[in-house]
This record gives sequence, structure tokens and C-alpha cells, in this order.
Amino acid sequence: MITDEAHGDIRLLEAKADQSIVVGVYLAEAKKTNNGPAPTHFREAFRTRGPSNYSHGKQEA
Amino acid sequence: MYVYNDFDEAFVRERVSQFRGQVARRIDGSLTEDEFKPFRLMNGLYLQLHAYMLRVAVPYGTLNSAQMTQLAHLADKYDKGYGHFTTRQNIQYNWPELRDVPDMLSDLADVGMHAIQTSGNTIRNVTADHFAGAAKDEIEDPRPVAELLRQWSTDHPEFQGLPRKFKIAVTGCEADRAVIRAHDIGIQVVRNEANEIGYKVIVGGGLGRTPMIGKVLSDFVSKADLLPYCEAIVSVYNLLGRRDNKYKARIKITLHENGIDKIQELVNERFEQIQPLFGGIDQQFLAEIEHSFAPPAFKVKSTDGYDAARLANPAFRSWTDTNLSEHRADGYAIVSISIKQHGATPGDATSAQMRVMADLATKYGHDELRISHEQNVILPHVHKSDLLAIYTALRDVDLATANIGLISDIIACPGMDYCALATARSIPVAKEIATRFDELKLEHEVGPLKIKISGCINACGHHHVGHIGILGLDRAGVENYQITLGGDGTESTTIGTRAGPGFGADEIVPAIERLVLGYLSLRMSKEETFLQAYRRLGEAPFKDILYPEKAAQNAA
Repeated sequence: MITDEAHGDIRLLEAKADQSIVVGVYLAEAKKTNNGPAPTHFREAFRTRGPSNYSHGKQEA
Repeated sequence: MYVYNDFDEAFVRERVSQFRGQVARRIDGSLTEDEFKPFRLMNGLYLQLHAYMLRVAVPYGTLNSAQMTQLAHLADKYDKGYGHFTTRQNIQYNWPELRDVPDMLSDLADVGMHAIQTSGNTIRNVTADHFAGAAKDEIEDPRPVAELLRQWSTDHPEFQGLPRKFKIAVTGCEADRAVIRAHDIGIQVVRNEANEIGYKVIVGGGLGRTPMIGKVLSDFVSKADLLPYCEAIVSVYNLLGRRDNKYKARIKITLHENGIDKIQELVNERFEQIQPLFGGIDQQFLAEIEHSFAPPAFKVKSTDGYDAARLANPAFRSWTDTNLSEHRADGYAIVSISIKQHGATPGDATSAQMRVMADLATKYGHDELRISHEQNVILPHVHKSDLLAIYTALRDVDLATANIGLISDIIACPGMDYCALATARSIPVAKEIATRFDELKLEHEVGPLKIKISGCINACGHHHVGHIGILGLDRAGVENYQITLGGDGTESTTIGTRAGPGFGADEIVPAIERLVLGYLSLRMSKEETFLQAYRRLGEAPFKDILYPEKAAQNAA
């Protein structure tokens, strides 16, 4: 979780350079929770789990 | 059915080989994602929320058994055992690994299939009436023309960088089952006064953020002129269409901004220039294509067993009441297999289900299957004496739901469960509505009712033309669902009217229930459908049902 905008931009550039690991990188809003950072928007929350019609994606692991 | 010739085969193989090289260079780091993106989009490979997605073209929704079996093979070998049939008669795989995609395309090429032009600003898969070649009300099978358009538009050098995507739909009869008035070009087979077969050409329809109903560009284009006429339209659009704003780039906006008269004038001018250049070669191709779409040899056989089975088995009778359509041949029926089991994801079929459908097509269906834009699978040519065997086999794999055209036969886009463009989920809403009305046991009482759900303004779920349309939006970080009423996707195409403020995710299913129960109390008789009642009464009583508090305030 990054709270400084400039650090965020740098982290985004670094992530974009990791093209053999990840694609379509962007910064998303997050909040602090007892289990670490959590997304604030439902779209990002879905992305941390996977689709709601099957237990596929990250929730499968 | 059309079978690839040597040219098609070589072309598709060459594209697989090129893409294999591009994927290898992407994986070894020679290509960045930005460099790779145009190549993957040319081959139908999208990036979604959780993984890549491969969209495979099913030209005009027609498949043979071997192709359906191969789709099942792809689902098992490279995906998670299922595929998703789309509202453009295609199939999507949601979980391919990038390194496997060239093999998937190679396996598709083995059965004469590909994923070319299922993305990008090109002419997309040409869609058609899913009852083509079988419907009783048809003037002529629209698929030869659709195949001609497919061959012409595939890799057409002038049309690889259009202002925006371009969709063509063809139907062979007055009854519109292909939503032709909501396509960039809609083509309808017609007869003129001299009884010659030709085409009514409609242009500038589309849904999305600016829904528009297409306008008739020509009432009659002769068979020989159709291809140059379509080329003239796309050619005019290619120059005139806006490239400064992607939301104003579709031909519907070009038409709206320039007017039908100007477009007509420009198209006619261009047509005069290019028509002589075709020199009849397209007609030679068309003649060959028509030959390959010759109807199968229909059986002549008694249907006594079928009639007896209907009397003896109420569940079978119910299925035949809803899932059959009239066939042009005596003793035959068109079977719509519902991919909408109550509570399941609309349009999703498992590999086992695909194999059963393929086997049934081999055994009883003259080797043909269709995908409908309503996300169901059709066996277009079935003799009635085989229906009980088909029903029994379908029932064993949860494919015998008797709900075609009813409230649970819902079109739903993948929505935010998969799609990167979505603003809300569609699938859970569709599942919950279907489950709820199954619990209420009201589906057959309610009768014909089309609910269509889109998870964003792009309207892949055709919500504008649903009798009840549902549009999922993001309102201040919460899923919110807007209802539109009175839409119609047939020959009397109508864009639905927004009913009022949206509903939260926990309110939308109760709102639909209220609306449908309200319709039951408003209709004049059991014969008056939801859409007919809406047209008779107007929106006011339906809005009162949807927003009872507002109605109470107004009454006070």
C-alpha cells in the first residue's frame, strides 16, 4: 500500500517494466485493514477473488 | 454447410503460424505488451479482469458436429471445461494461458475455424437468423450471402482500420430473429414486384451508449449488386466516419450527423465506381457457396410416436411446447436447446454438454447446430420422431429446460465477473431472476417475456431491446441497476424507455418480481403478452408498480 503519490508513480513504472510477470498494470485505491491492504472498490475486490459464478481465479487457489 | 477450400485452409494456417511467432516473441520479451496488443487483438485475444479471453468466431452461428466437438476439446484441454456462447453467436474461453493460444488456434484450424476479426476496428463476424435454412417463413437461406460477406471482409485490405468496429447481420425473412435493425448493416432477403429475390439494406443501427434503429438505405438491391453495394457503404463510412472521438465513430453517428440522403448519395456514387470492377466474380463465388448450403435430404416418416409420447409425458410435452419452432419440411421441427438452466450462467456450456449436443446433431440433426444471439444452441433440422430421444439425452446433462422465450431465457453479457469494460455484474442478476421465477412456478403463466441484461453502457446484453432491459452501472462505487421497458429486438424494433432511478443489487430482483406480478394483474387476458400490455397501457402503470412510494406520493 502506497500513500505517497510520487512513490505510487514510481512503483507503477516498475510494475509496468515487469512484463513477463504482469500486464495491464494500474494503481487502485486501497484501505488499511487488519489483514493488510484491501480494495475500496467492488471491481478491485472481484479481481482479488475471481468471478462470482464459479470458484475460479484467485479464490480457487 | 460451407467447407474451407485450399485458399481458406492455407490462409488460416498462415495466420496461426504468424501468431505463434508473435506469442513466442512476446513470451521471450522481444515484444512489449503494447507492441503485442494489436497482434493479439487481430486474433481475437482480449485481456479481461482475471485472464486472457479468446473469442472464437462461429460464422453466422453455424457449426457442424465436428466443430462443436472441437470446441469441447478446447474447453477441456486449454480452459476450465466450459465455454461461453455470446450474443454475437460466438464462443469465448475465459481462462486460456497465453502460451497455449497458438495451439488452440491450430486445433480450431483443424475443423475450419478461427478467431480472426473477432476484435478490432474491422468487419466482425457476420451474424444471421439462427433458424436460417430451416424456418418456415423464410424466403431464402441467408447464410450463402453471410458466407460471401465473410470471405469478402476477411483480411480485406481497405477495411482493417475502420473508424470503429463494424457489424453486419442477415436474415432471410420478414420476421427478424437476428436484430438486423441494431447492426451497422442489416440485410433482409426480400422479393420485389417482379418476384425476384434481392435485399433490403438497413444501415446505421446499433445499441451501446447511443442506441439507434437502422434506417433503410435501399428497399431492394439485386443479388448481383449486394456485395459492391456493401463495399460502397463501408467505403463511404471508412472516409466519412469520425476518428476524433471513439464514442462518435460508429456508422450510426455518421448517418445521424450527415443524414440518410447524403449517405445514400455518396454510397450510390461509390457503388457506380466500384460495381463494374467486380466483374461478376463474386457471383461465381456465391453460386459455389449456395451449392454448399443445399438443404439436407429430409426424411419422410410417421410422427405418430411423437404425438403419443407428448400425450404420455407431461414434461416432454412442456418442453415441446416451448422449445420447438416450425420447420419448413413436413414432419420436422427446429429444436432450441436452452443454455439457461435456472440458476446457471446464461450461455455457458460444459464440454460434456457440448459433446452431447454434437452427438445429437450427428445422430438426429443432419450434422448441423446453430448458436443463437440469445445464447442458446439450435438443432435446426430434427424429425419429430426423434424428439423424445433428443429430449431424454438433453435431460441427462441438464439441457432440457423448457423455457425458450420465457422469463428465465435471459440474455446476459459476462459483466464484471469477467469483462474489463463492465461497470457492474450481470450474471448473478440473471441467475437470481431465473431462480426466483422458478421458485414462484410462474414462468409459464407469465408467458413470452424477454429480459436482457448488460453490465455496462456498451450493451452487449442488448438491454435496450429487452421487453425488460437491465443495465448495470457503478453509482458512487456501488452496483446499481437501471430498468428500461418496452424494448423489442424483432422486425418492430423499439428502443426501451428508462423507467426511472436505478435499483441496488439487493433491490433489482424484487423490483423485477414486482413488475412481472404487476403485469399479471394488468393484462387483459392470458394471451396479452408483457410487451403488448406495455404498448396498450403505456409506461405509467408499470412505473407506478416499480416505484410504489412515488406513486403513493402522486396519489396523495
